[in-house]
Order: sequence, then C-alpha cells, then structure tokens
Amino acid sequence: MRGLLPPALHQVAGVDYAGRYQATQDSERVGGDFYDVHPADGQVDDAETLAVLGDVCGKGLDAAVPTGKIRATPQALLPMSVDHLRVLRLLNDALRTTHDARFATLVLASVQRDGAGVRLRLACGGHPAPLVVRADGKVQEADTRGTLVGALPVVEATTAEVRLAPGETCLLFSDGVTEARGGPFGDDLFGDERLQQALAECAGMPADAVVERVQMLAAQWIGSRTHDDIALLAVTAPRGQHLTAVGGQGRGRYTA
Amino acid sequence: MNTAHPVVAGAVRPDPHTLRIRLEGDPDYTTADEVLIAVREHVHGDREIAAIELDCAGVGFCDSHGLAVLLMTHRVAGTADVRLRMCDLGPQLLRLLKVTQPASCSASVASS
Repeated sequence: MRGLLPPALHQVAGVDYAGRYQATQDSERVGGDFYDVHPADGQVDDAETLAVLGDVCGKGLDAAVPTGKIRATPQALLPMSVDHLRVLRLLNDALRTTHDARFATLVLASVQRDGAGVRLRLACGGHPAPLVVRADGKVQEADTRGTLVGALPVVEATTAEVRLAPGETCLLFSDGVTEARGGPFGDDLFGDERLQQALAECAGMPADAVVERVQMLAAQWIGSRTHDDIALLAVTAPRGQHLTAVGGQGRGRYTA
Repeated sequence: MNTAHPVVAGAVRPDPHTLRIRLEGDPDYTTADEVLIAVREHVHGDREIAAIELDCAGVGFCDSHGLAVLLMTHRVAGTADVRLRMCDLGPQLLRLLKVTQPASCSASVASS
C-alpha cells in the first residue's frame, strides 16, 4: 500500500507544489483521493509538468485497485498530455467496466514556468474546478468542465488556460473539503463559499502555507466527526525568483 | 448525517406504463443502494413498465456514492429498455450534475 501514498512535493521546473492528504478514518472506506506531479521527461525547454488530483468512487477494498490504475495511467499518457480530452477519454476506456458504475473524477493540470509567472492548462473530468488565488485576494474558479471518467461511454471536457503572477496559487482540491460536515451546528457543509473565503486570506502565501491553512480550517470545521478523504494540491508561482537559466540541471541564478 | 430518512419513500403508478418513485433524504454512501434495488425489482418484476420517474423533490445532499448508484440505476433501466427520468431536482443535485457532467444521462434529466 505504500506506493499508494501521496508523494512529498517540492519545486519542479521552477514551479512550487505542495499537497495535503487526509485519509478518511472510516475503515470501510478505502482512500480514493490521490494527487501526483509528473515532471516532463528530458530537457525540452517548453515541456509541461503534469499535475493530477482525483477522487475514485468505490466501496471497500475495491476502491484501491482503480486508484492505483488511475494514478499509473496519466504517467504513461504524459507524452500526449498536450491533449487533455484525449487523456480523459483513454482513462475512461481503461476504467470502464460493465458490471458497475464506479467512476473517478479528476483534474489535469499541465504546468509550465513562463517568465516570472506560471502558465497552466486545466481540464476537469467531473471534478470541482480548481480555484485561483490572485495577488489581491480575489478568488476565481477556473473555467473548465468535463465528464466524470469510467462510468459512461462518452466523455467531453474543456481545457482552460490560467496564468499565475509571482505569489499567485492555483488550488486543486477534492470534494472531501467542500462536503466536510461540521461547524457550530454540527451538520453543515464546509461548502464552496467558505473555501473561497479561506483562500482569499491566503493571497501571496507560499504553496505549503496555502494547503496547511485550508487543511487546518477544514479540520477545525469537522472537529471530532468522521469525514471523507480530503486532498489538496497547490501550484504556486514562486515570488522573487528570476530564472535566468531555464531547463538545465545547472544552478541557474535566483535572486531572493 | 441524515441517514435516518428512508431514501425510497414510496412509489405510485400514474399510468400502467409509468412508475414514479419518490426519493427523500440524502442518497449517500450508506443509503443510496436502496434506489438501485427498488428500480431493479420493478424493471425485472413488471414488464408493463416502460418509464420510471425518480421524483427528487425531497432529495437534499447526494454524495459521489449516491451519484454512482444513480448512474448504475440509469444503466439497469436502459438495459431493460425502461426510460429513466429524474425530475424536480433541487439545487444540490443540480450542482452535482453540473460538476460531474454525466452528459449522456443529462438528456433524461428534467429540471422542472
């Protein structure tokens, strides 16, 4: 099971990543949330890193099998990740079975350093759209929609392009956050608005601080109640760093 | 959690070929299977039925397991040549369908 744990994240190709994963404590529910960051192969200057966050829906031990499958597939499909819809359709075919309607929802993020900022191409397969935290505290939902994968014969999706200035973050998250029940009355959903408010207060924070803050607020909201899996992945354009050497293994020159 | 509510709250026959199943509460991880079981029983037990309407007016929160069951229900009905239609969807259910975009199902979703 160790291979199913989410990876430790750091800077990849001049872009900051940070993730948090909080497994459900309900023993009947096997963790179905996951995230991965697949660096581009080789030394191509304009190659994109592929970040994936998703949620596999299934009961009991069954869920762990497609989670492993769905995590391995995007890495294999990395060379064709320029076409998100094609990746989602191939995933759909790989996961589809006739005897159940188990499915996964996920976000594909193709990420590339672009000058001092970051360029992202985002596509949702039945997943809540990522949220972008601007430098001034505005929070925007990425304009992408698509079909969940693994349950239906046809999958459609649109890709949205987002640019981040230094210090801005794009947060990929699972519905374990927004659907977490708790609060002062004990049974309210954490919800989209509370997540957006929390993110507005994270303007300018580093990637790790953003996911730490959201996880902490969700944990406070939930208290001692049970919850579903929660996964968070922040993609952040680093502040105060000017890349003068891009794409090489050399040290480059960074100014703080 | 609102698991005390029954999810399948009753069924009526507005005409001999139509079955209208009233859903109530939160079809989620623990309760959603009831919907599939009920639809399966009806489509296999009564060949007269050509259409099933799921009356969702009383449905609140539906999680991804609830959605998986609704997708499976749609498939079971389709295999038996029974048209499945969801009606009177509330805001939470509409939002779930907007995010997950089960396009081939949404054709049979009426947001009346």
